[in-house]
Amino acid sequence: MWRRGERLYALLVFLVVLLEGLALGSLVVVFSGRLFGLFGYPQVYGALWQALVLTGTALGLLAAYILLYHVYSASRELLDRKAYEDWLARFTEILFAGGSPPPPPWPREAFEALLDLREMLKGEFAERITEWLRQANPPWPRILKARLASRPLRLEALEALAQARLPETLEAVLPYLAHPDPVLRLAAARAGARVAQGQGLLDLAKALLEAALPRGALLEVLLLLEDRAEPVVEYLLSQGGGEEVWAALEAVGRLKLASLVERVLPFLDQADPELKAAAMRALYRLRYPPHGYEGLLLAALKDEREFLRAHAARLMALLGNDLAQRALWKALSDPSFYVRRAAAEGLLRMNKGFLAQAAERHPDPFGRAMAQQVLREAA
Amino acid sequence: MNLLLDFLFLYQVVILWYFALLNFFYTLFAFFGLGMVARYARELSELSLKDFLEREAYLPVSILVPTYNEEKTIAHSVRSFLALHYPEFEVIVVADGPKDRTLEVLKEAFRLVEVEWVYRRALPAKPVRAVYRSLVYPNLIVVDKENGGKADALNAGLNLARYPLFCAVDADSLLDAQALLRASRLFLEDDRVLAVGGTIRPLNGAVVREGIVETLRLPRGFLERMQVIEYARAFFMGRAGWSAMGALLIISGAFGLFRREEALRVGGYRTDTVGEDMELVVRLHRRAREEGREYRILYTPDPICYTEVPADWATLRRQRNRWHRGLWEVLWNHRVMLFNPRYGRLGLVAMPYFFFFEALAPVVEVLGYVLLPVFYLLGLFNPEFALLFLLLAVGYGVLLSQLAVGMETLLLQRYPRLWDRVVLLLFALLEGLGYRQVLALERFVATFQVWRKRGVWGEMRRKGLES
Amino acid sequence: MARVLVVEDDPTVAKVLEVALGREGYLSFLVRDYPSAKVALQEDWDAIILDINLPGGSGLDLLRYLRKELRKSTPVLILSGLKQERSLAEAQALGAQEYFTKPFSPGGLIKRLKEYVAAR
Repeated sequence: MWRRGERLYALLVFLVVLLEGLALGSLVVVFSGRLFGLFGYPQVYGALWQALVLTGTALGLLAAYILLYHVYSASRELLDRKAYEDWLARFTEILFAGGSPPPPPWPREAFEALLDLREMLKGEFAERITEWLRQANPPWPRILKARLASRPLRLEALEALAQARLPETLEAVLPYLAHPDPVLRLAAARAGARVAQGQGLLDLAKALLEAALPRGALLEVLLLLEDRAEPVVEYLLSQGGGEEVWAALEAVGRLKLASLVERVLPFLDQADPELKAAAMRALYRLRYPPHGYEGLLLAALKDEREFLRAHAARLMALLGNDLAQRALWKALSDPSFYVRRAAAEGLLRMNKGFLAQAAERHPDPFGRAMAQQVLREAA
Repeated sequence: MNLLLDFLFLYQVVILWYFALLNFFYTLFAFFGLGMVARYARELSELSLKDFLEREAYLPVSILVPTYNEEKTIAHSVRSFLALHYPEFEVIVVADGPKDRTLEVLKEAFRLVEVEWVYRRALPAKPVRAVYRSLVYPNLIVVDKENGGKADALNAGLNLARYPLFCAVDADSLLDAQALLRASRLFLEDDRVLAVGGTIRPLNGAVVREGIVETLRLPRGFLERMQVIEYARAFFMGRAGWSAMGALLIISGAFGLFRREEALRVGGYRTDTVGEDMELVVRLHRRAREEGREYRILYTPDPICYTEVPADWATLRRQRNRWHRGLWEVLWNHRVMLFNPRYGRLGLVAMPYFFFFEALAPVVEVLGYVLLPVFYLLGLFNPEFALLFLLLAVGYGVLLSQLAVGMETLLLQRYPRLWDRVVLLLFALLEGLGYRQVLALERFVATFQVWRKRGVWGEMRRKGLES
Repeated sequence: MARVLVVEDDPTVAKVLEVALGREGYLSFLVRDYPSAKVALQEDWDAIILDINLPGGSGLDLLRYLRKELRKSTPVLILSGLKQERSLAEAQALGAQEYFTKPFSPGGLIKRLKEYVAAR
């Protein structure tokens, strides 16, 4: 979305603003002074001219910069793209034809092309790219360990490592999970999730506890782990605070980690409504009927909080027994639109005939309407 | 006579202070805003967007498209909304009792069928005549309702919306394919975020092919070019600056993303104002402050929305008249916030700023022009002095515009031709010589029409997208 | 010589497919966005490799267009980054032969492609 060069521009803007601030400031002082007879006419006149000249200079400077930057960036990008495409073609040919890549050092575009290939390929090709990357001795871990490096540079290094997925670089990434800057922390967590493997997963899990990411961001990170997620999620479920547990519960459902069902069930008995809802959502996504927790579900169906009732209604349907059917029939007269909807959809899943009955002779007119609507949609 | 002279001199000095303070504010915005944009430009990685798009972490979005008489453009725009890159979203088009063939066009283009639809009427709105679904696009819903204005149409759409986030857009807007991705991430990563606004850029002159903005070209018309500069300044500096200060009061109706529950909780859009987009944002701020909650309402420069801007004076003046009346209405409705420390920066900085430097600005400006002949007749008019002063004022305005034009060069999707850039810089010079004054006059007039024309929109004329 | 249409906006994937198909002796034709793809679909191809998120529209809409309006049974192999179940289910319902997610292994994709082309 954005070109490089914004820091230079910011510096220029600072300069211009400083100049203008001086000019306008002195103008105001002189004018106000004139009101009280402190300054004579020539001073006022002079101040006005001075402000004008400064503004003019700033304008000229800025316009020149903008035009030069435009020309420079346009031609530079053309060259960069050409170089990138050449490297991409070169690497791709070698991947298919066999052989080894040109010896490093490589320019920036070569790394970009190789990282993009790594991002898109898996299997044998991906392994070969990883090997090439290793041999090229990329600068990113060094940047992360360096004492003096700018923030954008560190962010870029984290992103590059995330794409390269070299497991041995995890140790360079992890310290950033405790960085005071939240943006770097999130970038590091994302990189860690893409890089970590085997034993590294547990290290990552521990570091994530320290990172105190917002729960949505943590969820994003957990989903990046894909088929490696289980140990991390399990660790967060047992050791994490509210935010971490919430993200872990969400991740169980979305990644379909059926092996963790037993760890999720106890959360149905949680006092915190958000966690309880997250547990119900996770079980529903896993399509796991929570036998033995019927009492808790029935209680949740009567909870004063709408979202708990709606989740409970949805999960109830998985039980598929008489008890569930009766409870959902009742829930069709719930004051909340969303609970009625969940109940009707649940009945549809369990017993379409029963839902048809509800559409005809449920005592609550809203319940009937909802049943009819869900039946229509199913048809 | 002496008294009069003293008064007039004092008046001049007051005006000077006003001018200086205003420019001080502008500079502050320029500074905060540019800093924010520059930082942001580096922070959001393309890789993280890709991950976000491909995995299950997202919050689904309902796109609300209120439409009135838009038979020429509606099919195109709806198609472009359906083409957005986002894992799960629905498009809800609300036909607000159109008098032309808007609804018929939609029916043909998307093979709509009427459905019985049970939904929650969380907000009052004019009666819905029918709800349609598309046989081609499962995520398209069209609502036909009795005419009730834009805010009413949005409320009707909100009633039907199913997802946790909603995105209000204008029917003639074109969203960048990644706009939803970029904006919605902020909601996921921070529970405190209530609303997010993006950058609006004029679509006029752009080469559009089936909903994709292929290249930007500067429009030919003088007014359209002026607005290119105005929009760049308003968003890259104004909005960015306010957002950086945590006091963003405006999210354009052309593109804004909100948490649906929060909008419902404050009662949706108000139908008795022409500034319904700003009003909702101010109300969200106000409610959250009154409840003492931690919250954030943000502008982010990246989600970009292209919109067609007026190409003729009459339409432009009507639009600005409406905007200005909307501003006054909002300020009046929320007058308790003005100078009220309970509302923090909003009450002490943002609201006073909008009152003195936005709402009252045209009055001060126009009075200034009117007084010129008075000064002349009294022999107080020093032509050389006045000229210098005018030059300075113009120069300063140009400087701010140039800063924004400079920001635009950093965007990947910028006006690519060097000549366009030169033209933009030249037009920035022209803005203070005529264009600005005409609009100031219009806003001046609008200030005195607020009571008489409450809630009156005035027709918008549209050219239709040439594809 | 078999002709394969590649609808893909990512230059990296496009390059990989170009080389991979070329080595198999296929004639590949690349389009990068929705409108161009719609035009390209009018012709007859031996197989189509289709991305979902394209500038200007969705690959799934292209698939729908191909099957429902053009009524062609050309084998379609989806190659997309989208890993959500719903896109997979939708692609299947619309009659896609295969669904590969990125990152992908060119060998696997080409193998399936060959089978579909041979079966025609």
